[in-house]
Amino acid sequence: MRLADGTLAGRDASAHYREVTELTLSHVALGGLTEAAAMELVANAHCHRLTAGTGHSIRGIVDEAGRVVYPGYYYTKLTVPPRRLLGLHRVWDRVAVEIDVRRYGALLLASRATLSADAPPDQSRDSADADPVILLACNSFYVDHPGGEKEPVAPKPGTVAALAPLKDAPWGRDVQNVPRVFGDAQSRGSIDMAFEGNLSGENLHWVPRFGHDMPWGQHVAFSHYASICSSFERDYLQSIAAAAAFPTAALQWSETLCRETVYCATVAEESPLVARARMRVSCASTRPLPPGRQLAAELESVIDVRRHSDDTLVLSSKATRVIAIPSQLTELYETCRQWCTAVS
Amino acid sequence: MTAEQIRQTVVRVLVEVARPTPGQAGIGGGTTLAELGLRSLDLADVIARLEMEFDYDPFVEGATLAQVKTIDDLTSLYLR
Repeated sequence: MRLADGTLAGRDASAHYREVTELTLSHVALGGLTEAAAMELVANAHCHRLTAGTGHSIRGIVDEAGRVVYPGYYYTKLTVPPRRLLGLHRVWDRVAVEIDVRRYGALLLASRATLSADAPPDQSRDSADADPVILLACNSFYVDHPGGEKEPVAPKPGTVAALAPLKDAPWGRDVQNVPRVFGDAQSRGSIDMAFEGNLSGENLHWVPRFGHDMPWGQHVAFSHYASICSSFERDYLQSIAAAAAFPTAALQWSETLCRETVYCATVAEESPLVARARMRVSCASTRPLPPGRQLAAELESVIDVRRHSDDTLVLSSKATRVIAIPSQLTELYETCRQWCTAVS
Repeated sequence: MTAEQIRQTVVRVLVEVARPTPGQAGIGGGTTLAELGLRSLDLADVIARLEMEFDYDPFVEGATLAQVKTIDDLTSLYLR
């Protein structure tokens, strides 16, 4: 449920857009905020910002020919401060998303969003907003063609809210090179070809399902790929032959600190995906976690996902995750440390 | 800005973004964007950079990527 209509922090085209959301069962079920749910909250604010003042929803954006145009994601980078783990935001908590959306030419968009706890009235917003979760994202406007092909197009003026140019954004330099990062990843087959893991595993296979991973007749939403990557990471960890088996219960406490992803192709059928995973495990991390959590292991991974049918790169994602186990779960912590020591 | 200056700017930006194919001959007005290894997102990047150069974007005015096959096609969009 959106608690308040989105508000623009200023009247000009560079205004930040802010909206507060109560985390309901629809967002997080009975648990805490996930990567996918966080990105969906930001994507909602993004859509609302894009059409603020136009009188229509995102479906009202069209090109000169009247075709419906949508802002497809081709890059995201999520950064989570170690003390602000996503999972700390639980069902029925209120979170605030503030987003700055910029245009980069007529066809591209870039945005920087923050996500933080929405402070109760008796607390200053400053304390809740300090050191927020940050999501950088890049989009291109597309129209879909039969067969899954996408064509970049410029939206018709007036169907998108006025947006300031990227060059004026303080964070603009962080994303101006993204089209190059995307192109290089597509050409080389990975967002980071040089990354070397310290675990060895086999290629992983997985089949997306209609009704679960994507709505019937639709393609997989960009945010869901974070869940898919997490599934690949889990399968990878469980596939590693080691003296000590990975303690699956520790996955409940795994949290993402950073994930950078390029989205190269869509998936709209129940056909197999193949992932090449590289992973590095470390027990030596000293990141400052929230009170009551102990860092049992840090996992860095690069996952390159391809369609098995035609070997097309679907996405490439580089992530840093921590297993942050509550202090009272001593046995699980020790088991996880032993596993980490054995494999790293 | 003269037509030649516009053409030179377009070529410079294209070369910054392009991934020329091995053994590719010199770049001329008839060189296709595909020959430069430009994919659709690269071209969107080129257009964004050209907007910063010229403070003008013909794609806001209704031009479409389908119109653009060669360097000359792209240059002509910025000749006002």
